[in-house]
Amino acid sequence: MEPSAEEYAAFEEKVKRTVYFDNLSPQVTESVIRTALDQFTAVKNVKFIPNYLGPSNLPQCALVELDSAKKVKEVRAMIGQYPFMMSGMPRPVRARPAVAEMFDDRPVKPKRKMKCCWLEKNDPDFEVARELKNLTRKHAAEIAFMHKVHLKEEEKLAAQQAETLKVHYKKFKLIEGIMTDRTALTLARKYNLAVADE
Amino acid sequence: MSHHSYGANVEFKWGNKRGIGVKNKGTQFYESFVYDGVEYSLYDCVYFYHNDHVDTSLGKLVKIFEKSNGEKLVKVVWFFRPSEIRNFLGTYQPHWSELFLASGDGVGVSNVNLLESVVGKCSVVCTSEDKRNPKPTETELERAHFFFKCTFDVERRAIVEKFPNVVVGVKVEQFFNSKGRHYATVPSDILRCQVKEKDEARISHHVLTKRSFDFLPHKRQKIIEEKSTIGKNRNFHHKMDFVENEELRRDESVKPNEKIRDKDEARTSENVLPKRSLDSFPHENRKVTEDKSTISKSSNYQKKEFDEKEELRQDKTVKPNNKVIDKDEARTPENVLPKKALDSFPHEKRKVIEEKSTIGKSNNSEKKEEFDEKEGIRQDGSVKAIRKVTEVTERPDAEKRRWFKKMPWEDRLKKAQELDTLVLLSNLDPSYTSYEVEDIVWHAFKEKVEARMLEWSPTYNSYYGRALVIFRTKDAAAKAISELNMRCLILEDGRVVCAKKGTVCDPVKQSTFTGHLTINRAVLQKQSWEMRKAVSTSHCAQPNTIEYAMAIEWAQRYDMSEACWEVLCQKQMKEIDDVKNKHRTARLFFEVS
Repeated sequence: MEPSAEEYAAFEEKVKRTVYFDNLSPQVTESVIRTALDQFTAVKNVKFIPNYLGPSNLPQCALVELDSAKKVKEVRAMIGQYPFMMSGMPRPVRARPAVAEMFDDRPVKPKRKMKCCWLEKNDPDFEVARELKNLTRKHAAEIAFMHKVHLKEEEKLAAQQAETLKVHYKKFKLIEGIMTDRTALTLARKYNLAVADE
Repeated sequence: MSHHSYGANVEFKWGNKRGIGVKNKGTQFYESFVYDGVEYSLYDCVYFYHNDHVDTSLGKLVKIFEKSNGEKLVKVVWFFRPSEIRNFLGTYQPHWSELFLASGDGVGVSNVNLLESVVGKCSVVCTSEDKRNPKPTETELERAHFFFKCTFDVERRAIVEKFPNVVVGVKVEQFFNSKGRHYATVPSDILRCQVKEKDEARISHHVLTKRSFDFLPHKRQKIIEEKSTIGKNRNFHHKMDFVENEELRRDESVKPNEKIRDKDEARTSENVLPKRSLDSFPHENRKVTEDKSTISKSSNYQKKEFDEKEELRQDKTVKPNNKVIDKDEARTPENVLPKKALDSFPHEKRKVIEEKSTIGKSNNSEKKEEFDEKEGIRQDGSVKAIRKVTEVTERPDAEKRRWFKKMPWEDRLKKAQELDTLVLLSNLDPSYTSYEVEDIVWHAFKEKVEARMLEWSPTYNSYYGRALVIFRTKDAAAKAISELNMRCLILEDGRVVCAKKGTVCDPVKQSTFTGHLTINRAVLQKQSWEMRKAVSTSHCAQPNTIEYAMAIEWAQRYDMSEACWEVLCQKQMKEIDDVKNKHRTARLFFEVS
């Protein structure tokens, strides 16, 4: 597994060609993404990022490799300008440029050297290290909490929108109802109003 | 004394003590200090302000000390900006953010400056291929303001790629990247912003004006030595003088004694007297200065400098400070003196005067100080003795990992979950790859594991890299977790690996998705035309629909959550920096390997 410079350069090119989509519905599959995007560009490869640890109801994320870096820009501009719906409404998907760390199968960076060492309890820096460790745990908890808060907020927004939609729906239903059972026409005649016949 | 009132405005605090000068018992060395709200420590790279040059100067603090008379001083080894040595670049094409470490014996390598002339921290990484130099990490490179990979030998006036073992008595290792020091040298973004704001006025207007020494009359650069006063030249010199001298030499207006002077000044000075300011005063005045006690001088520095800074901040042009003529002020030797004031004095007056007090403090004390330094280093060394730093190489069967096609990761993961052999490692460098994590685990535990880096996500702190690791047995996994809890495994840039049992939630396919509403055929009728045109399940919302209005609400929600994540990350980064800074020792991680 000699990490070759060319291999890494090729990978970097690939990263530049890739768009990262998030806020995808769990219904979205590779073919959905392909058909959704082929109005803009050809899709080379689609890879969903698995969510092993996060709350299971987090939206899906996917890396989509396109033809060129230019296409990435175009797609992002398009999706930025108009809310883009995939497999459902009205929550739009979001696109951002991919970064190397989003690929779990990325090649080893050439010439990279790593070091590690164990700190024993009697080491003067042990306390610092322990504090950092605790900090890491605390931060992980904070991040988990943040996820929870955001999911709740999203649910709130969704519920509120569902309510709005229901009201609209009822309104439309009512209008439709009086139009179809001719109530509207009868009333118009009674009040001597001119109603345009559909 | 007036400086007290100014001093009160500028926060100052010493950090840990380091040792005292052996001969000169009054000299106290320190590891760090806090000035104007920013903490500086030994071997930090800092900006120096001086108003007769366009750019700030960059240097590395190699000594921090306070003399018995209360003068706060720092010894710095300079970095050259490419423009400063443009005449010697030859065919070398420097990068715009490249610097050159001063080396060799001669003027311009290092100086002792007033601590108050430090204006801010900067981060400089070394990208040299030298094997003593730990490779900078990705994050370091990204966060660095400057980098250097060559030294500039002031003796030979040449760019040298090879690093010497010692620069002005400081081991070259201190100039290379040091793991763990990273966070000490790079202030958090917020901190950096503060510093920037504060110094902007001071720095930025300098950048716009022409390099001062270009238009200063060359004659002014001549410095006549008063060698009679002392054997050793111990004057304050800025490295620019060296550059200026060089320019002179090119102009063929070389005076014979200049060469001698250069050599004399090869010894780095411990002196405080910035010659530039001295030079600007009539000779008689300086004579007076010599005999004055240094305490009164130091008291005036602060005031002087403060005046100056205030003024610069207010109007962006350099104005002569009228007080300069004042006799009392004449005693304040500070390189912050306005250059117009300099110009107003005839060049013969530019003489370098020795401070009498330094005569007694001869070469010896300098050596002592160096000795102190060594003492410190030795202490560090003994600390390191307990630690065994392992260079992570590929584990023995590295090749094999690619030979066999394994079960799909999902299946292995599921099995590991059932067998309790799954461990979640966090606080790894996010740029590690799965193979590298396997190598690290091999070196730390001598266990062959299967690892998978978790992908970076915008909804996570990007500082933390995480990996799922499958151990071979349940015991091995449990042992690894307890090891990591009891002891601390440190990675390159001072990260401490954190482990816990890995629990994977099954990626259940949910049928509903928050925010996707479904009931509404009737509503959709309105958009049926658009629907027909759009690609089966995906489309862009058009601005005249309810859907569009709701989508905008979602976009707003996304932006809000993004802002939240950003704030959270910033807060967490600050906490990490704080912990690392609180314990100065943290930067000792990996200093010797």
